[in-house]
Amino acid sequence: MRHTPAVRGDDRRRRFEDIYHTNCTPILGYALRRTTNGEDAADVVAETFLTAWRRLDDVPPGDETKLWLYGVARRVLANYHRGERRKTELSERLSRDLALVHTDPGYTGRLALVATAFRSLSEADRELLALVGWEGLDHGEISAVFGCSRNAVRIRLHRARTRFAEAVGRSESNSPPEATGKFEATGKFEATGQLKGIGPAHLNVMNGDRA
Amino acid sequence: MNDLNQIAELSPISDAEVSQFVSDRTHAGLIAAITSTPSRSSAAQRSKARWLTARMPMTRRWLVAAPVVLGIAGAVLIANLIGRPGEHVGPINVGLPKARAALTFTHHGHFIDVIVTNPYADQKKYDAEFKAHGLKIKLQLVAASPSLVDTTVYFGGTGNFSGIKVITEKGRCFTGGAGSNCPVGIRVPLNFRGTADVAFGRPAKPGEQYETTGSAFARGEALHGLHIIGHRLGAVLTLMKTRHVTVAVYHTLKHGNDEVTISKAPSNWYVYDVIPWSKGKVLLEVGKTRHQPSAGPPTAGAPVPTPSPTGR
Repeated sequence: MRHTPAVRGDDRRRRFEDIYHTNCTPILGYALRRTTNGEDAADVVAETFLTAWRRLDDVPPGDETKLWLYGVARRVLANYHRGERRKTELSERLSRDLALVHTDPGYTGRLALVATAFRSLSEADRELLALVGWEGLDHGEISAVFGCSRNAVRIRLHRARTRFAEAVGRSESNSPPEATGKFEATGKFEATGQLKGIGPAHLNVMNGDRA
Repeated sequence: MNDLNQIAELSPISDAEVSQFVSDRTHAGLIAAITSTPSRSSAAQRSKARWLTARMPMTRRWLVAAPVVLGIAGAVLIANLIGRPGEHVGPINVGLPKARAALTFTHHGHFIDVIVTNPYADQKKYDAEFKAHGLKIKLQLVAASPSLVDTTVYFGGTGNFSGIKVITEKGRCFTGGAGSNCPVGIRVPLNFRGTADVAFGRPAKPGEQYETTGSAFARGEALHGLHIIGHRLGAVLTLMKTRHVTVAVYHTLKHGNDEVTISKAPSNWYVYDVIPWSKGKVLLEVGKTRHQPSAGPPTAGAPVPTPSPTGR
Protein backbone atom coordinates (compact mmCIF):
# COMPACT_ATOMS: atom_id res chain seq x y z
CA MET A 1 0.00 0.00 0.00
CA ARG A 2 1.25 3.45 -0.79
CA HIS A 3 -0.25 6.65 0.35
CA THR A 4 -0.35 9.57 -1.98
CA PRO A 5 1.96 12.36 -0.91
CA ALA A 6 0.33 15.67 -0.24
CA VAL A 7 1.56 18.98 0.99
CA ARG A 8 0.65 19.51 4.64
CA GLY A 9 2.53 22.29 6.34
CA ASP A 10 0.25 22.56 9.32
CA ASP A 11 0.95 22.25 13.00
CA ARG A 12 -0.19 18.65 13.13
CA ARG A 13 2.44 17.60 10.68
CA ARG A 14 5.14 19.55 12.48
CA ARG A 15 4.18 17.97 15.77
CA PHE A 16 4.26 14.51 14.21
CA GLU A 17 7.68 15.19 12.71
CA ASP A 18 8.97 16.20 16.13
CA ILE A 19 7.56 13.03 17.64
CA TYR A 20 9.02 10.91 14.89
CA HIS A 21 12.51 12.40 14.99
CA THR A 22 12.69 12.25 18.77
CA ASN A 23 11.50 8.67 19.04
CA CYS A 24 12.30 6.82 15.83
CA THR A 25 15.53 5.34 17.16
CA PRO A 26 14.16 3.88 20.42
CA ILE A 27 11.08 2.54 18.64
CA LEU A 28 13.17 1.02 15.88
CA GLY A 29 15.43 -0.48 18.54
CA TYR A 30 12.40 -1.85 20.37
CA ALA A 31 11.13 -3.48 17.18
CA LEU A 32 14.51 -4.87 16.10
CA ARG A 33 15.12 -6.42 19.51
CA ARG A 34 11.84 -8.31 19.23
CA THR A 35 11.85 -9.41 15.62
CA THR A 36 14.25 -11.62 13.74
CA ASN A 37 14.84 -9.43 10.72
CA GLY A 38 14.79 -5.85 9.60
CA GLU A 39 11.80 -6.24 7.33
CA ASP A 40 9.53 -7.26 10.18
CA ALA A 41 10.89 -4.48 12.36
CA ALA A 42 10.24 -1.97 9.59
CA ASP A 43 6.60 -3.03 9.45
CA VAL A 44 6.25 -2.61 13.19
CA VAL A 45 7.86 0.83 13.16
CA ALA A 46 5.75 2.05 10.25
CA GLU A 47 2.55 0.78 11.84
CA THR A 48 3.47 2.33 15.19
CA PHE A 49 4.09 5.78 13.78
CA LEU A 50 1.07 5.50 11.51
CA THR A 51 -0.99 4.94 14.63
CA ALA A 52 0.66 7.95 16.25
CA TRP A 53 -0.29 10.08 13.27
CA ARG A 54 -3.85 8.85 13.21
CA ARG A 55 -4.23 9.36 16.95
CA LEU A 56 -2.04 12.44 17.23
CA ASP A 57 -4.41 14.11 19.65
CA ASP A 58 -4.03 11.16 22.01
CA VAL A 59 -0.23 11.19 22.04
CA PRO A 60 0.97 12.58 25.39
CA PRO A 61 3.66 15.25 25.41
CA GLY A 62 7.20 15.15 26.75
CA ASP A 63 8.80 12.04 28.15
CA GLU A 64 5.51 10.17 28.03
CA THR A 65 5.49 10.19 24.23
CA LYS A 66 8.08 7.44 23.99
CA LEU A 67 6.27 5.31 26.54
CA TRP A 68 3.00 5.75 24.64
CA LEU A 69 4.76 4.67 21.45
CA TYR A 70 6.26 1.64 23.19
CA GLY A 71 2.73 0.71 24.17
CA VAL A 72 1.53 1.00 20.59
CA ALA A 73 4.51 -0.95 19.26
CA ARG A 74 3.82 -3.67 21.82
CA ARG A 75 0.26 -4.05 20.52
CA VAL A 76 1.39 -3.99 16.91
CA LEU A 77 3.81 -6.80 17.72
CA ALA A 78 1.06 -8.69 19.50
CA ASN A 79 -1.06 -8.56 16.36
CA TYR A 80 1.92 -9.44 14.24
CA HIS A 81 2.63 -12.56 16.24
CA ARG A 82 -1.00 -13.54 16.16
CA GLY A 83 -0.64 -13.68 12.41
CA GLU A 84 -2.45 -10.43 11.82
CA ARG A 85 0.44 -8.83 10.04
CA ARG A 86 -0.53 -5.93 7.86
CA LYS A 87 2.18 -5.47 5.30
CA THR A 88 2.17 -1.96 3.93
CA GLU A 89 4.33 -0.24 1.40
CA LEU A 90 4.88 2.51 3.93
CA SER A 91 7.73 0.47 5.28
CA GLU A 92 9.31 -0.47 1.95
CA ARG A 93 12.20 1.96 2.10
CA LEU A 94 12.77 1.30 5.76
CA SER A 95 12.86 -2.42 4.99
CA ARG A 96 15.52 -1.82 2.37
CA ASP A 97 17.67 0.13 4.83
CA LEU A 98 17.32 -2.61 7.39
CA ALA A 99 17.71 -5.51 4.98
CA LEU A 100 21.14 -6.40 6.29
CA VAL A 101 20.33 -6.12 9.96
CA HIS A 102 20.17 -9.46 11.71
CA THR A 103 19.23 -9.61 15.32
CA ASP A 104 20.30 -13.15 16.07
CA PRO A 105 23.42 -12.79 18.20
CA GLY A 106 24.06 -16.53 18.41
CA TYR A 107 24.53 -16.75 22.16
CA THR A 108 27.23 -19.05 23.46
CA GLY A 109 28.44 -20.35 26.80
CA ARG A 110 26.60 -19.23 29.89
CA LEU A 111 24.76 -16.60 27.90
CA ALA A 112 23.19 -19.41 25.90
CA LEU A 113 21.90 -20.91 29.13
CA VAL A 114 20.54 -17.56 30.21
CA ALA A 115 18.88 -17.17 26.83
CA THR A 116 17.31 -20.61 27.11
CA ALA A 117 15.97 -19.72 30.54
CA PHE A 118 14.65 -16.40 29.29
CA ARG A 119 12.92 -18.06 26.37
CA SER A 120 11.23 -20.54 28.67
CA LEU A 121 9.36 -17.75 30.46
CA SER A 122 5.87 -16.63 29.61
CA GLU A 123 5.42 -13.88 27.06
CA ALA A 124 4.31 -11.52 29.79
CA ASP A 125 7.38 -12.17 31.94
CA ARG A 126 9.73 -11.83 28.98
CA GLU A 127 8.30 -8.49 27.91
CA LEU A 128 8.43 -7.12 31.43
CA LEU A 129 12.04 -8.19 31.94
CA ALA A 130 13.02 -6.97 28.47
CA LEU A 131 11.57 -3.52 29.09
CA VAL A 132 13.84 -3.28 32.10
CA GLY A 133 16.91 -4.94 30.66
CA TRP A 134 16.70 -3.82 27.04
CA GLU A 135 14.85 -0.52 27.10
CA GLY A 136 16.10 0.44 30.59
CA LEU A 137 12.64 1.47 31.83
CA ASP A 138 11.83 1.87 35.53
CA HIS A 139 8.63 0.82 37.28
CA GLY A 140 6.83 4.09 36.60
CA GLU A 141 7.70 4.06 32.93
CA ILE A 142 6.62 0.46 32.51
CA SER A 143 3.34 1.23 34.22
CA ALA A 144 2.77 3.91 31.57
CA VAL A 145 3.53 1.44 28.77
CA PHE A 146 1.20 -1.21 30.17
CA GLY A 147 -1.44 1.15 31.45
CA CYS A 148 -1.35 -0.39 34.92
CA SER A 149 -0.29 0.85 38.34
CA ARG A 150 3.31 1.21 39.43
CA ASN A 151 2.64 -1.18 42.28
CA ALA A 152 1.30 -3.78 39.88
CA VAL A 153 4.49 -3.49 37.85
CA ARG A 154 6.61 -3.88 40.98
CA ILE A 155 4.78 -7.06 41.96
CA ARG A 156 4.80 -8.50 38.45
CA LEU A 157 8.49 -7.75 38.07
CA HIS A 158 9.33 -9.39 41.38
CA ARG A 159 7.49 -12.52 40.32
CA ALA A 160 9.02 -12.49 36.86
CA ARG A 161 12.53 -12.18 38.30
CA THR A 162 11.87 -15.07 40.65
CA ARG A 163 10.67 -17.25 37.79
CA PHE A 164 13.65 -16.20 35.69
CA ALA A 165 16.10 -17.13 38.46
CA GLU A 166 14.41 -20.51 38.78
CA ALA A 167 14.59 -21.02 35.02
CA VAL A 168 18.28 -20.17 34.97
CA GLY A 169 18.81 -22.69 37.75
CA ARG A 170 17.00 -25.36 35.77
CA SER A 171 18.91 -24.47 32.65
CA GLU A 172 22.22 -24.79 34.48
CA SER A 173 21.35 -28.09 36.08
CA ASN A 174 20.41 -29.52 32.69
CA SER A 175 23.59 -28.38 30.98
CA PRO A 176 27.00 -30.13 30.75
CA PRO A 177 29.36 -29.07 33.52
CA GLU A 178 31.73 -27.10 31.30
CA ALA A 179 28.97 -24.66 30.44
CA THR A 180 28.28 -23.56 33.97
CA GLY A 181 30.26 -21.24 36.18
CA LYS A 182 31.54 -19.14 33.31
CA PHE A 183 29.83 -16.16 31.94
CA GLU A 184 32.07 -15.60 28.94
CA ALA A 185 31.38 -17.48 25.76
CA THR A 186 33.20 -20.76 25.45
CA GLY A 187 31.93 -21.76 22.05
CA LYS A 188 30.76 -25.07 23.46
CA PHE A 189 27.11 -24.28 22.97
CA GLU A 190 26.55 -22.68 19.65
CA ALA A 191 23.00 -21.51 19.84
CA THR A 192 22.25 -20.05 16.48
CA GLY A 193 19.43 -22.32 15.43
CA GLN A 194 18.20 -23.12 18.88
CA LEU A 195 17.81 -19.57 20.00
CA LYS A 196 16.80 -17.87 16.83
CA GLY A 197 14.23 -15.26 17.67
CA ILE A 198 14.64 -15.55 21.38
CA GLY A 199 12.46 -12.64 22.25
CA PRO A 200 10.68 -11.90 19.05
CA ALA A 201 9.72 -15.13 17.45
CA HIS A 202 7.49 -16.07 20.31
CA LEU A 203 6.76 -12.50 21.22
CA ASN A 204 6.92 -10.86 24.52
CA VAL A 205 3.48 -9.55 25.02
CA MET A 206 1.49 -9.09 28.15
CA ASN A 207 -2.11 -9.89 27.64
CA GLY A 208 -4.53 -8.26 30.00
CA ASP A 209 -2.90 -4.95 30.64
CA ARG A 210 -4.54 -4.16 33.90
CA ALA A 211 -3.24 -5.94 36.92
CA MET B 1 25.69 -11.54 38.22
CA ASN B 2 22.44 -9.64 38.63
CA ASP B 3 19.59 -11.30 36.76
CA LEU B 4 18.57 -8.08 35.02
CA ASN B 5 22.15 -7.55 33.88
CA GLN B 6 22.06 -11.02 32.39
CA ILE B 7 18.92 -10.14 30.47
CA ALA B 8 20.52 -6.92 29.31
CA GLU B 9 23.34 -9.03 27.92
CA LEU B 10 20.81 -10.79 25.71
CA SER B 11 19.83 -7.60 23.95
CA PRO B 12 20.43 -8.31 20.26
CA ILE B 13 21.08 -4.70 19.32
CA SER B 14 21.36 -1.34 21.07
CA ASP B 15 19.63 1.90 20.16
CA ALA B 16 23.02 3.43 19.43
CA GLU B 17 23.66 0.71 16.86
CA VAL B 18 20.17 1.05 15.41
CA SER B 19 20.54 4.71 14.57
CA GLN B 20 23.23 4.10 11.96
CA PHE B 21 21.13 1.84 9.78
CA VAL B 22 18.46 4.19 8.49
CA SER B 23 19.16 7.08 6.16
CA ASP B 24 17.72 10.56 6.59
CA ARG B 25 16.00 10.14 3.25
CA THR B 26 14.22 7.02 4.44
CA HIS B 27 13.03 8.80 7.56
CA ALA B 28 11.79 11.72 5.45
CA GLY B 29 10.02 9.36 3.06
CA LEU B 30 8.27 7.53 5.88
CA ILE B 31 7.13 10.77 7.49
CA ALA B 32 5.80 12.03 4.16
CA ALA B 33 3.98 8.78 3.48
CA ILE B 34 2.42 8.63 6.93
CA THR B 35 1.34 12.25 7.08
CA SER B 36 -0.29 11.98 3.68
CA THR B 37 -2.78 9.49 5.11
CA PRO B 38 -5.93 10.68 6.87
CA SER B 39 -5.55 11.51 10.52
CA ARG B 40 -8.34 11.66 13.04
CA SER B 41 -9.07 15.37 12.92
CA SER B 42 -8.37 16.06 9.27
CA ALA B 43 -10.24 13.13 7.79
CA ALA B 44 -13.63 14.37 8.89
CA GLN B 45 -13.05 17.69 7.19
CA ARG B 46 -11.94 16.08 3.97
CA SER B 47 -14.96 13.91 3.45
CA LYS B 48 -17.65 16.08 1.93
CA ALA B 49 -19.87 13.38 0.47
CA ARG B 50 -23.44 13.18 1.60
CA TRP B 51 -25.75 10.22 1.55
CA LEU B 52 -27.84 10.57 -1.55
CA THR B 53 -31.22 10.41 0.11
CA ALA B 54 -30.27 13.20 2.47
CA ARG B 55 -30.29 15.49 -0.57
CA MET B 56 -33.60 14.22 -1.93
CA PRO B 57 -36.38 16.80 -2.03
CA MET B 58 -38.45 16.65 1.12
CA THR B 59 -41.69 15.91 -0.75
CA ARG B 60 -40.15 12.95 -2.54
CA ARG B 61 -38.83 11.58 0.74
CA TRP B 62 -42.29 11.80 2.23
CA LEU B 63 -43.83 10.01 -0.76
CA VAL B 64 -41.44 7.15 -0.23
CA ALA B 65 -41.61 7.13 3.52
CA ALA B 66 -45.26 7.68 4.32
CA PRO B 67 -46.68 4.24 3.44
CA VAL B 68 -43.77 2.56 5.12
CA VAL B 69 -44.14 4.62 8.25
CA LEU B 70 -47.87 3.90 8.43
CA GLY B 71 -47.34 0.20 7.87
CA ILE B 72 -44.68 -0.44 10.47
CA ALA B 73 -45.26 2.37 12.92
CA GLY B 74 -46.37 0.05 15.67
CA ALA B 75 -43.45 -2.31 15.23
CA VAL B 76 -40.95 0.52 15.15
CA LEU B 77 -42.43 1.99 18.29
CA ILE B 78 -41.90 -1.29 20.12
CA ALA B 79 -38.45 -1.75 18.66
CA ASN B 80 -37.38 1.72 19.69
CA LEU B 81 -38.41 0.98 23.22
CA ILE B 82 -36.13 -2.03 23.48
CA GLY B 83 -33.29 -1.22 21.10
CA ARG B 84 -30.68 1.44 20.48
CA PRO B 85 -30.37 3.71 17.43
CA GLY B 86 -29.31 1.91 14.27
CA GLU B 87 -29.68 -1.49 15.88
CA HIS B 88 -31.68 -4.43 14.53
CA VAL B 89 -34.42 -5.81 16.69
CA GLY B 90 -35.71 -8.72 14.72
CA PRO B 91 -36.50 -7.34 11.27
CA ILE B 92 -36.77 -3.78 12.54
CA ASN B 93 -33.90 -1.34 12.18
CA VAL B 94 -34.06 0.88 15.22
CA GLY B 95 -33.69 4.64 15.09
CA LEU B 96 -32.90 6.26 11.77
CA PRO B 97 -34.63 4.80 8.70
CA LYS B 98 -32.45 2.09 7.19
CA ALA B 99 -32.02 3.95 3.91
CA ARG B 100 -30.37 6.85 5.74
CA ALA B 101 -28.09 4.84 8.02
CA ALA B 102 -24.43 4.56 7.03
CA LEU B 103 -24.01 1.50 9.23
CA THR B 104 -26.19 -1.20 10.70
CA PHE B 105 -25.60 -2.60 14.17
CA THR B 106 -26.77 -6.13 14.93
CA HIS B 107 -26.27 -8.06 18.16
CA HIS B 108 -24.98 -11.63 17.86
CA GLY B 109 -24.31 -13.25 21.22
CA HIS B 110 -21.29 -11.53 22.71
CA PHE B 111 -20.67 -9.37 19.65
CA ILE B 112 -22.11 -6.48 17.72
CA ASP B 113 -21.82 -6.78 13.96
CA VAL B 114 -21.40 -3.42 12.29
CA ILE B 115 -22.03 -3.52 8.56
CA VAL B 116 -21.31 -0.66 6.17
CA THR B 117 -24.42 0.13 4.21
CA ASN B 118 -23.16 3.28 2.56
CA PRO B 119 -19.44 3.45 1.69
CA TYR B 120 -19.76 7.07 0.61
CA ALA B 121 -21.37 8.43 3.76
CA ASP B 122 -20.03 11.51 5.48
CA GLN B 123 -17.36 10.63 8.03
CA LYS B 124 -19.38 12.43 10.68
CA LYS B 125 -22.19 9.98 10.09
CA TYR B 126 -20.04 6.95 10.81
CA ASP B 127 -18.63 8.69 13.88
CA ALA B 128 -22.06 9.61 15.16
CA GLU B 129 -23.45 6.11 14.71
CA PHE B 130 -20.58 4.50 16.61
CA LYS B 131 -20.87 7.13 19.31
CA ALA B 132 -24.58 6.44 19.62
CA HIS B 133 -23.66 2.86 20.48
CA GLY B 134 -21.04 3.92 23.00
CA LEU B 135 -18.16 2.70 20.83
CA LYS B 136 -14.96 4.68 20.39
CA ILE B 137 -14.35 3.38 16.90
CA LYS B 138 -13.25 5.38 13.91
CA LEU B 139 -14.27 3.65 10.70
CA GLN B 140 -13.15 5.34 7.52
CA LEU B 141 -13.95 4.49 3.94
CA VAL B 142 -11.03 5.96 2.05
CA ALA B 143 -10.70 6.51 -1.67
CA ALA B 144 -8.43 3.71 -2.84
CA SER B 145 -6.63 2.97 -6.05
CA PRO B 146 -8.15 -0.05 -7.83
CA SER B 147 -5.94 -2.74 -6.33
CA LEU B 148 -6.89 -1.68 -2.79
CA VAL B 149 -10.61 -1.22 -3.32
CA ASP B 150 -12.51 -3.48 -0.94
CA THR B 151 -9.51 -4.24 1.22
CA THR B 152 -8.71 -3.38 4.82
CA VAL B 153 -6.07 -0.68 4.51
CA TYR B 154 -5.66 0.09 8.19
CA PHE B 155 -6.52 -1.51 11.49
CA GLY B 156 -5.24 -0.28 14.82
CA GLY B 157 -6.31 0.89 18.23
CA THR B 158 -5.84 0.74 21.95
CA GLY B 159 -7.10 -1.47 24.73
CA ASN B 160 -8.54 -4.79 23.63
CA PHE B 161 -9.02 -3.62 20.06
CA SER B 162 -7.50 -6.82 18.70
CA GLY B 163 -10.73 -8.54 19.70
CA ILE B 164 -12.40 -6.67 16.86
CA LYS B 165 -12.53 -8.70 13.68
CA VAL B 166 -13.14 -7.59 10.14
CA ILE B 167 -16.20 -9.20 8.61
CA THR B 168 -15.67 -10.26 5.05
CA GLU B 169 -18.30 -11.58 2.79
CA LYS B 170 -17.83 -13.23 -0.49
CA GLY B 171 -19.86 -11.68 -3.24
CA ARG B 172 -20.91 -8.63 -1.20
CA CYS B 173 -18.23 -6.26 -2.41
CA PHE B 174 -18.94 -2.66 -3.11
CA THR B 175 -17.15 -3.30 -6.38
CA GLY B 176 -15.11 -6.19 -7.63
CA GLY B 177 -11.80 -4.31 -7.44
CA ALA B 178 -9.83 -6.79 -5.39
CA GLY B 179 -11.83 -9.94 -5.76
CA SER B 180 -15.13 -10.91 -4.25
CA ASN B 181 -14.16 -11.65 -0.64
CA CYS B 182 -14.30 -8.16 0.78
CA PRO B 183 -14.59 -6.41 4.10
CA VAL B 184 -18.15 -5.36 4.70
CA GLY B 185 -17.96 -4.46 8.37
CA ILE B 186 -16.50 -5.29 11.76
CA ARG B 187 -17.45 -7.61 14.62
CA VAL B 188 -17.01 -5.85 17.96
CA PRO B 189 -16.96 -7.77 21.26
CA LEU B 190 -19.51 -6.45 23.73
CA ASN B 191 -16.72 -6.07 26.28
CA PHE B 192 -14.67 -3.83 23.99
CA ARG B 193 -13.46 -0.88 26.06
CA GLY B 194 -10.66 0.63 24.00
CA THR B 195 -10.45 2.66 20.84
CA ALA B 196 -10.09 1.39 17.30
CA ASP B 197 -9.26 2.81 13.90
CA VAL B 198 -10.34 0.87 10.85
CA ALA B 199 -10.09 1.95 7.24
CA PHE B 200 -11.53 0.16 4.23
CA GLY B 201 -10.65 1.07 0.67
CA ARG B 202 -13.59 2.21 -1.44
CA PRO B 203 -13.72 3.22 -5.11
CA ALA B 204 -12.78 6.83 -5.75
CA LYS B 205 -15.43 9.16 -7.04
CA PRO B 206 -14.77 10.74 -10.48
CA GLY B 207 -11.76 13.04 -10.18
CA GLU B 208 -11.23 12.22 -6.52
CA GLN B 209 -7.62 11.84 -5.41
CA TYR B 210 -6.75 8.48 -3.88
CA GLU B 211 -6.13 8.50 -0.17
CA THR B 212 -4.47 5.13 -0.24
CA THR B 213 -2.75 3.49 -3.17
CA GLY B 214 -1.29 0.16 -4.17
CA SER B 215 1.56 -0.36 -6.59
CA ALA B 216 0.90 1.40 -9.88
CA PHE B 217 1.84 -1.87 -11.58
CA ALA B 218 -0.52 -4.12 -9.63
CA ARG B 219 -3.45 -5.85 -11.24
CA GLY B 220 -6.23 -3.39 -11.90
CA GLU B 221 -3.98 -0.34 -11.62
CA ALA B 222 -3.33 2.10 -14.45
CA LEU B 223 0.11 0.77 -15.34
CA HIS B 224 -0.43 -2.91 -14.59
CA GLY B 225 2.36 -5.03 -15.92
CA LEU B 226 4.56 -2.22 -17.26
CA HIS B 227 8.27 -1.87 -16.45
CA ILE B 228 9.20 1.79 -16.44
CA ILE B 229 11.30 2.30 -13.32
CA GLY B 230 14.80 3.44 -14.24
CA HIS B 231 13.79 4.47 -17.75
CA ARG B 232 13.98 7.98 -19.17
CA LEU B 233 10.93 10.13 -18.66
CA GLY B 234 10.32 10.72 -22.38
CA ALA B 235 10.03 7.01 -23.10
CA VAL B 236 7.89 6.48 -20.03
CA LEU B 237 5.44 9.21 -21.03
CA THR B 238 5.10 7.65 -24.47
CA LEU B 239 4.33 4.30 -22.92
CA MET B 240 1.87 5.82 -20.46
CA LYS B 241 0.06 7.50 -23.30
CA THR B 242 -0.87 4.11 -24.71
CA ARG B 243 -2.70 3.46 -21.44
CA HIS B 244 -4.31 6.92 -21.47
CA VAL B 245 -2.49 7.76 -18.25
CA THR B 246 -1.17 11.26 -17.55
CA VAL B 247 1.07 12.76 -14.90
CA ALA B 248 -0.69 14.68 -12.13
CA VAL B 249 2.48 15.86 -10.49
CA TYR B 250 6.22 15.18 -10.41
CA HIS B 251 8.30 14.79 -7.29
CA THR B 252 12.05 15.22 -7.25
CA LEU B 253 14.81 15.74 -4.72
CA LYS B 254 16.22 19.17 -4.09
CA HIS B 255 19.37 19.77 -2.08
CA GLY B 256 19.79 16.13 -1.20
CA ASN B 257 16.82 15.11 0.88
CA ASP B 258 14.07 17.68 0.32
CA GLU B 259 11.34 16.18 -1.84
CA VAL B 260 9.70 18.93 -3.85
CA THR B 261 6.79 19.07 -6.27
CA ILE B 262 7.34 20.29 -9.82
CA SER B 263 4.86 20.62 -12.66
CA LYS B 264 7.23 19.64 -15.49
CA ALA B 265 10.43 17.62 -15.82
CA PRO B 266 12.98 17.21 -18.62
CA SER B 267 12.33 14.20 -20.81
CA ASN B 268 15.92 12.97 -20.36
CA TRP B 269 15.41 12.59 -16.58
CA TYR B 270 14.84 9.16 -15.09
CA VAL B 271 11.77 7.71 -13.41
CA TYR B 272 12.35 6.35 -9.90
CA ASP B 273 8.86 5.52 -8.77
CA VAL B 274 5.23 5.77 -9.79
CA ILE B 275 2.30 6.29 -7.43
CA PRO B 276 -1.34 6.21 -8.47
CA TRP B 277 -2.88 9.66 -7.97
CA SER B 278 -6.45 9.48 -9.24
CA LYS B 279 -8.24 7.66 -12.02
CA GLY B 280 -5.99 7.93 -15.10
CA LYS B 281 -3.35 10.00 -13.31
CA VAL B 282 -0.12 9.14 -11.50
CA LEU B 283 2.59 10.83 -9.50
CA LEU B 284 6.09 10.29 -10.86
CA GLU B 285 9.24 10.47 -8.75
CA VAL B 286 11.97 11.61 -11.12
CA GLY B 287 15.57 12.84 -11.14
CA LYS B 288 18.45 13.61 -13.43
CA THR B 289 20.61 10.61 -12.45
CA ARG B 290 19.83 7.03 -13.42
CA HIS B 291 19.79 5.89 -9.81
CA GLN B 292 17.92 7.70 -7.09
CA PRO B 293 20.31 9.57 -4.76
CA SER B 294 20.35 8.13 -1.27
CA ALA B 295 22.43 8.24 1.86
CA GLY B 296 22.27 4.49 1.48
CA PRO B 297 21.79 1.55 3.77
CA PRO B 298 24.75 -0.05 5.58
CA THR B 299 27.16 -1.77 3.28
CA ALA B 300 26.97 -5.48 2.63
CA GLY B 301 28.78 -7.53 5.19
CA ALA B 302 28.22 -5.06 7.98
CA PRO B 303 29.11 -6.68 11.28
CA VAL B 304 26.40 -8.34 13.27
CA PRO B 305 25.66 -6.22 16.32
CA THR B 306 26.95 -7.60 19.57
CA PRO B 307 24.95 -7.76 22.77
CA SER B 308 25.04 -4.58 24.80
CA PRO B 309 24.41 -3.96 28.48
CA THR B 310 21.26 -1.91 28.33
CA GLY B 311 20.09 -1.82 24.78
CA ARG B 312 20.69 1.89 24.75
